[in-house]
Parts: sequence; C-alpha cells; structure tokens
Amino acid sequence: MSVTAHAPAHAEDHAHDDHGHHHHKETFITKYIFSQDHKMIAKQYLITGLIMGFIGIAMSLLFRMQLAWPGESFPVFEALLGKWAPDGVMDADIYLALVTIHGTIMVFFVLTAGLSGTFSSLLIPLQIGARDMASGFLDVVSYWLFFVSSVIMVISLFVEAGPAAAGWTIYPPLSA
Amino acid sequence: MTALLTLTVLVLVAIAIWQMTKIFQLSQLKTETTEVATDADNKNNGYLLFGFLIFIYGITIFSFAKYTKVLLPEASSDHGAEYDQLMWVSFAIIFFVQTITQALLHYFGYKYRGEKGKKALFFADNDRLEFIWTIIPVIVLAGLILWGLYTWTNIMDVNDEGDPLIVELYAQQFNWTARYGGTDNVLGDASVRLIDINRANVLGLDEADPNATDDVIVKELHLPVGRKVNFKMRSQDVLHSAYMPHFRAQMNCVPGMVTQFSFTPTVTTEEIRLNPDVVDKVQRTNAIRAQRAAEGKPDSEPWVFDYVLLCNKICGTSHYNMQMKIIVETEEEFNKWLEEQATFGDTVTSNP
Repeated sequence: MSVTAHAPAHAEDHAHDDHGHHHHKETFITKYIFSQDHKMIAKQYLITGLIMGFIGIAMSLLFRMQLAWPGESFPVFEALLGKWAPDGVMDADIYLALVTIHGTIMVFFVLTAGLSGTFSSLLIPLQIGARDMASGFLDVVSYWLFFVSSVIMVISLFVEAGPAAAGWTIYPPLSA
Repeated sequence: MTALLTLTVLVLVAIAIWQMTKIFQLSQLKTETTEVATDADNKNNGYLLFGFLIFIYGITIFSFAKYTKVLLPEASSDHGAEYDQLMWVSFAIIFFVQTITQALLHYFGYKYRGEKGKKALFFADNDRLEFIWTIIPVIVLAGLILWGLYTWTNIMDVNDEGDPLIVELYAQQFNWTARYGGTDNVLGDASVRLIDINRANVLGLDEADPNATDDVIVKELHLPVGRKVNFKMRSQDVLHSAYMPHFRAQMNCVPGMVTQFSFTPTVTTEEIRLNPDVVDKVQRTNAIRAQRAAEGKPDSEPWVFDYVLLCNKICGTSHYNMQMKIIVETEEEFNKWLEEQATFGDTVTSNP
C-alpha cells in the first residue's frame, strides 16, 4: 500500500498511446486515495471539510436548541448524547464540550480544510501556471495528517470522560 | 444503541432524499438539456438576486423592530455613555454603507448579467475614481479609530485621582468575592500561598500586614453612586473575566497577576429599577415566570432587577452560574452597610 509502488509500473503501454501523452497507469488507490494530483487532494480536502462541517453544524443545532429552551427536555439529546443528557436535558459539561468541539471543528477542520486545504491546493498551481505542487508527496502527507486529526477529533466524542470542555480557545491553565 | 439507530435513520433519510432528487432530475427529460446558461436563466438569477436583497433588508428591519428590546438598558456608569455613543455611531455608519453597497452590488449583478451578444467592456483604470473610493474610507475609518483610541485610553486610565474607592474582585471556580480596604481604604497584602480555609482566610491575606486587619470581605458587591471605584482583580485558579454589562465594564482576571479597571457608577439600583427598558424587561420575564409557575415548573418566582457581575470567560462546568449581585446605593447607605460588615481582623481572631 505504499505511495511510491506505482512509479515503475507505467513504463510499458506507451506504444498504445495514440496521442503520445505521458500516461500513468493509475490504480484506484493512486488515483483516489493517495493521489499526488493537487486537484484530487483539493477534492479530498473539500469532502472531508464538508463532512466535518455537517458534524459541526449538527453540534451547534443541539446546543443552541438547549440554549433557546434552557432546562427543557428533548428526546433527541438523550438519543444522541446518552448519559450526558439524563432525561433529555444536557449536562453543563456536555454543553460546554459541544461548544468547544463545535468551535474547534469549525475553525480547524472546516475553515482550514476549505480555505487553506481546498483553495490553496486547487488554485495556487493553476494560478502560477505550474504543472502541480512543488512536492506532491508533501501535499498528500498534509491531507492525510489532516484526515487522521479529524478522525481523532471525532473519536474524542466517544471517550468515557467526555470531550474537551475548555472552550475552543483552549486557554491555559483551564485546558491543562 | 438508540444513538446508533437514530444516526442510521438519519443517514438513510439523507440517502433517500438524494435518490429522490436524482429520480426527479431523470424524470425532467427535455429535448434540449444543456449545461450552458441561457438568457432566461441569467435573467432569473438576476431577479433572484433582487429577491435576496429584499430578504436581507427585510430581516434587518425585522430584527431591529423585534429584538432591540433585548439590548442592555442605558449605561449606568460615567464612561458608559461615551462607549455607547461610539458604538451607535459605528453602527449607523456601517448600516448606511451596507444598505447602499448591497443595493448597488445586487443591481449591477442584474444589470450586467450574461446576455447573448453582450460584450464586456475593457476598462483599464481611473485614478480619480480610485482616489475617491480610497480617500473616503480612509477618512471615515481614521476618524473612527482615532475616536476609539481616545475613548479607549480614557476608559482604561486607572489612576488614584479623586479619592477612588478601592475594591478587590477575587475570582475562583465558580464564585466571586469582593474585598474593601476598610476605614483606611487600603487593601492589605495577599498571596495565594497564605490561603487558610480553616481560619477563614479565603483570599490569602497577610495577617502580619496592618492594612489587612480592617479589610472587609463580602459576597455581595456594594458601590456608592457617584464615587469613582478602582477595581483590582485577582484569580485563584484559571482565567476568569469580570463582566459588569450595565456599567460597560469588563476585565480579565489572570492567575498570578493583578488587573485593574476603574469606573464611576451613576445610577443607583433603586433608580435603574424604574428605567422604562428595565421595567419592560422585568415585566416580560415575570410573564414567562408566571406561566412557569402555573405549569408547576421550577425557577418561577417573580424576578427583581439587580446589577450583576458575571464571569465572561469559560472557566469550567459552572461558569454559566458564576455571578455576584451588585448594589449601587447612596454614599450614606454604603457607609452604613460597610460599617455593619465584619472585618478580616474579627473573622480571623474568631477562627484561631
């Protein structure tokens, strides 16, 4: 599953190429998953950012529902938050945690993915007239590090002690 | 498990909607299906822009009409009037420019929509035009910034002129404590290392410091009207923020350092309760509370307005409820109240 595994495989097949273009023989993995093409990486950023955006918006809907009707019971809270919302009323802890994770997701996993990730990967090479990023490999690494951190962020919701609840600004010493 | 089921249902509903839109699209089979926008499309988009323009104007007017009443009542401090004036002038300028630019933006979007045979005009530059649209914002913004800086330095200038009352605000998870300098109006030295709960030394006052003996430690902040108050803020544990919205005052409380803020209260608690905005707010709140009482719900006793000191920096689980009542009263009432309070010397000797 290595990124460089496809490199020597493209040498044949050139004879069939009517247009004489330099074609890679791409597999599904090199084309869609560990692609070094800046446009594909931009799409990956965009899709991940959109998914994180939906998660972030869902959180804000939840905690703003509780904010609009303080102390009111909502079955949806109990269904989604379980022990954090006994009888459908959010705990102070989970309220803060949702605000915190929502803020963090929106800033670092939606705006960053959308602006820095999507726009810079997609537009910069096109705008400066380059064929691709200077280092496609670093571009891939940047996306996959971003993806792994997104996953960890979402997993933090399922930790027994609950997700971080120190506000998205994570001011020390409260966040320590 | 219920959560998983709910999520699965949500995902399936989303897929169903997506499939239905696909079916709908497929059923719209026309002879001419082209991806290129026609003149009619562009015209429709232009009208939609106008629709959006009306929507944002409408929602702005609606919000002003319906929600202005939830704003704070007029400021109860000396500098507050200055602060509010700056805010309202900034608001007025922003709304004026916003109203005009939005109208122009949407109108030009419609006027220069794509049309067959319409050619874009190549327009290199116009120095005069650029000068005008640069110089006007420069003057307006420079004015606002200078005025803002002037107001800011005025508000943030904490000095000992005019015999200010010295009050310490002590923040900890999740409550406030206030300390007065007593008869000498000088706060005794304090350090977090000297805190001794068993001796009721909750703020860590230095017992060896003679200034500390007459200090008064209270859980309700009393301020004399018309006298300048210098606040010294400390925090025991994490960042807090002392927020007194009715006095337009806010200052972070940082562990390990003393921060300061100064203001002069101008309206007593008795007087603000008669303010029409406050009377209206109390009436609206008590109507809701009366309804809650009828339904047998908690938090339904009638509410009386009081100034509050709130924590305005997320400091943990009970941050939302970290507050202290503020009472602004006449100088005589204040002095009488202060005399009735036990001094630090009294409480420490009674807790040997």
